[in-house]
Amino acid sequence: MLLRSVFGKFLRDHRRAVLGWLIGISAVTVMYSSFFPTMKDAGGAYEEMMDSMPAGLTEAMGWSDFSSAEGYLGATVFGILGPVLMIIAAIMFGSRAIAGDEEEGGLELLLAHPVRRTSVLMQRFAAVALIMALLGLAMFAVLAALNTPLTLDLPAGRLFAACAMLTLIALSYGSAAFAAGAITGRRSYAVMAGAVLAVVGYLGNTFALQVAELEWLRFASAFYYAQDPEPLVNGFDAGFTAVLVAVPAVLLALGAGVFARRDVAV
Amino acid sequence: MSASTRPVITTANLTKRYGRHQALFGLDMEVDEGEVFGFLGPNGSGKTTTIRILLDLIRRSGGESRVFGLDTRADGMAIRRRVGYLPGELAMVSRRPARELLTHLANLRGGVPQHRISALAERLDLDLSRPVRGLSKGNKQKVGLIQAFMHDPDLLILDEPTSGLDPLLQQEFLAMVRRARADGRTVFMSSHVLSEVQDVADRAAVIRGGRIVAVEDIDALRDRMVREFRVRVAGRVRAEDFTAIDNLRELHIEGDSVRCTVDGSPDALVKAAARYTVLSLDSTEPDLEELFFHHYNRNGADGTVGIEGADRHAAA
Repeated sequence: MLLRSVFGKFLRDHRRAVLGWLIGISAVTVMYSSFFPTMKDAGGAYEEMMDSMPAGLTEAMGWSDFSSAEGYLGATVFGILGPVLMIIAAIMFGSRAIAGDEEEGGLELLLAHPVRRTSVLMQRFAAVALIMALLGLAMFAVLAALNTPLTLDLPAGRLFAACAMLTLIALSYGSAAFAAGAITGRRSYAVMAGAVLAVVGYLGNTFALQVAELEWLRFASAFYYAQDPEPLVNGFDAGFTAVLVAVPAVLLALGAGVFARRDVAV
Repeated sequence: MSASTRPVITTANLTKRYGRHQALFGLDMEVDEGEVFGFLGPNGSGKTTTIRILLDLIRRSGGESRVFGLDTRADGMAIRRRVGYLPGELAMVSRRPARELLTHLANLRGGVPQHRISALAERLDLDLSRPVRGLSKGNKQKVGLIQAFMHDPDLLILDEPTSGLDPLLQQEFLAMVRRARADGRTVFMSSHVLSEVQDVADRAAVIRGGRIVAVEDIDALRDRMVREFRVRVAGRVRAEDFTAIDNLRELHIEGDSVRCTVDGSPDALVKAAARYTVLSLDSTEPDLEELFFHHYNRNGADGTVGIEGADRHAAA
């Protein structure tokens, strides 16, 4: 069944990699969130330590309150390692989808068949988006399962919103890699585009906030749109979510515009 | 073997430029329905570029390119539906088995019966259950041949089809090409050596430096062929037995051996050698580059070949 479409074949070809990422991200989520009860118990001590640090640093890193589930998860699972892993996965799948396959020679054979380039592009993008959604869902499933045992006591809806926003951050940078790959056909450019934008975006929503002249940078950061509405506290924010849905769509359209016209496999 | 009048591939003044580098300089070519057409040229002469334009993988810079009378830019989908293509460099990196890749590619064409795939695999002696990633170059080439032939396309475009195949499989491949022709299909195959296509092609175009320098019947081309021979005999060679033969060049006679280049048929050489007890006879085909150097630069003006390209190359 999966062999009928370009979409299905891409998923099939990457089954192992997807499984690996699912296990990895689930394991990291379990390990990270398991420290919460300890943090909660030691609450007072951490507050003191936080107070002794420069306010700018704690604000930049999003370390507000480690003794609440929102604060702790926001700073850890959703603040650092979660985004890093999800973005790496998104850039990896995004850059492989067109540019990687083109460099390896597979795309030439595929496009010599009666398929439209835009269709191939859409199907591969849909496959990458689905993979990222699966990774996000795995995170959500882990956190939902640990919700009671770890006394997180967060409503499932808000956990879901946080995982969804994190997935959208990753998909934004994955889309950048995907589009850069579709436009240039070079995997290295694709990875670079995704990685550079992700680093700029991360800094733009953390350290740049401390510098008045760089504060505008946050608007170029997917982290800003995902984290500023604090989904763990407030759930989904329609406007900010729309921005993060629009970003991949626009990048996909840009990529498709060039990919349909350029020479392939040269 | 004169084919029907309907051209399957037509290019007119076809050019391709990659940035500053120009790869094709106004290609004019016509391939007729039902013929096996060789597309010969040294590496880097523009063969693959031409083929990729026909499949709309890359886009021409100027001129015209048509397959089945359809424009390659406007009707790429309709063209590719009726074409089987073997890429020159076949990279397959999936960990999935070959059968899965072939089934997938067949599905993109609307499906091919499994027994057809199995029959081709058996014929080429390929194990379809092995992952394509781990296959040797020759076995990957077999997968490539199967996907090109399996849907019985009207036109086969094969880029260096025999590279990586051992001699036995080359024969099998040639049989597949002959059968395709017998079924009325058209085959367009490129190579950088004449011997790979001479047994099966009806006509051939010779491309060099992005220009067609000759389009000829394969027999005429073979007659122009230059081969290098080495003969070793028992006893001493008498020079006068060989110096009298007029189609030998670069003749070196040393003790019991003769080394020379033969234009066209080696008949006279073989008959001269037959007066001795022949211990060994080796012949090598010089690469096309050498063939052109000897032939088209020197005898290019004899009217039957397009000399424009050769002349310009000589001037460069």
